[in-house]
Amino acid sequence: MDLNAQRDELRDALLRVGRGDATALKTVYDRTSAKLFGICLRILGDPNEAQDVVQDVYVTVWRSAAGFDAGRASPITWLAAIARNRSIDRIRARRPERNAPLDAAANIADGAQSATDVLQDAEQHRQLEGCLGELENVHQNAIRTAFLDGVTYDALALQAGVPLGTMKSWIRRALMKLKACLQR
Amino acid sequence: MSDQIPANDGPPVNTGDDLDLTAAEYVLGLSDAPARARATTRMNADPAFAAAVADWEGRFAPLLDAVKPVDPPAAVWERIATVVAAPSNVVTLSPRPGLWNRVGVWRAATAGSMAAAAACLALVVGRPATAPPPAKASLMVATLTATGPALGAKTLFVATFDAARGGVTVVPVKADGSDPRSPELWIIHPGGKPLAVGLLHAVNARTVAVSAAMAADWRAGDTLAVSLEPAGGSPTGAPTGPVIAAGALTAL
Repeated sequence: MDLNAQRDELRDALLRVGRGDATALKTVYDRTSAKLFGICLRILGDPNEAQDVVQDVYVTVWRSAAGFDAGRASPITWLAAIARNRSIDRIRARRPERNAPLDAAANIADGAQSATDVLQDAEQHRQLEGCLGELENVHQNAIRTAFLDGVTYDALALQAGVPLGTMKSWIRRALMKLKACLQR
Repeated sequence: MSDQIPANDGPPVNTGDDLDLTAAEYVLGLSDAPARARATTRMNADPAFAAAVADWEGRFAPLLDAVKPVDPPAAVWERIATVVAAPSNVVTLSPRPGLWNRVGVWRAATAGSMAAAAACLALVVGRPATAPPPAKASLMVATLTATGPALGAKTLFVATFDAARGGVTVVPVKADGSDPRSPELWIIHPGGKPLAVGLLHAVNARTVAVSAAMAADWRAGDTLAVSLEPAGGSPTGAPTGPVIAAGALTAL
């Protein structure tokens, strides 16, 4: 099944979940849970917590799948955003000393992985990597680490050994540059 | 984000991009808990901001290709399936004998006050039959106070129901987050059984969608209650854990 067919199948299943079709929820779960569990595990670093969040995500989807706007978001992007946000909210609620995993930088090594996930558009992937590649290394690493590991500005500044204001300034300028590049 | 950008670190970022930058910072996960809560609230109120967030989610989505998929244990689906199988609108409040003993917040209570606690819950749930039929209001609030007598009248959650938006927003006041169980919201109509509304977050504000059919029955004087349930919500559709807070809806 090609990318578009998979995406259509997932979109259709999510719309059916919105109408209370439990079989469709299983379809959505089978297609996406490994990705979502991987995302939660990476951010939370704790399999039990990651399981809780994944469960919470699908129960939320079941109870309020109406929140999915088929016209706007890709289904996997929408689900991944819920999983990421729930995971990040969870680590933000932890005790402060656990908020800044200093070894998070070690996790970004696989950021340059070339194989594309079947659920993401290869062209979109190539474009984002191209635009990230135009940023300074330290800036693109900070953006990757933030997105994939859910760390705060403070943690990024600490890791890079720069003042908080400098990190904010780097990221904000990098974000605007990135946006301009992606819109070219 | 109003932090000053250091002048000696390049040209200042155009402030016209504030909305976009705030959205990007939320999506990247750079904000602290209060800023994230503000962003969530803003997403509900400001379509332009919500659209900016969705755009950034889309832009960064390819980065997720770097995350290795990992199959969750089978138990995760089993728990989800249990929730899905439970009828969401047929529930009974039947705290089993001994339930109260298992409840952390009640543990400090004496044997005598447990009876008082049960009576307290009955009071919370019941409403005098002679009361005039309350008006339907599109905007209602409820202050949910701790139901344990040992805890006094401590406010644990504040709920705002907005019929126009089809949702109830519940803000935890005493954010703790140490209990692994999920707080679940119930509505109890006078003389009725608790109906599951949805899962809350122990620490962060959460807006739970209320279907039009369900919202049609919500009246001032109805009780909102929060119980602690296994992750993912009550497996039976009825409260299985302790009811930790309750309060009546009041029209605004």
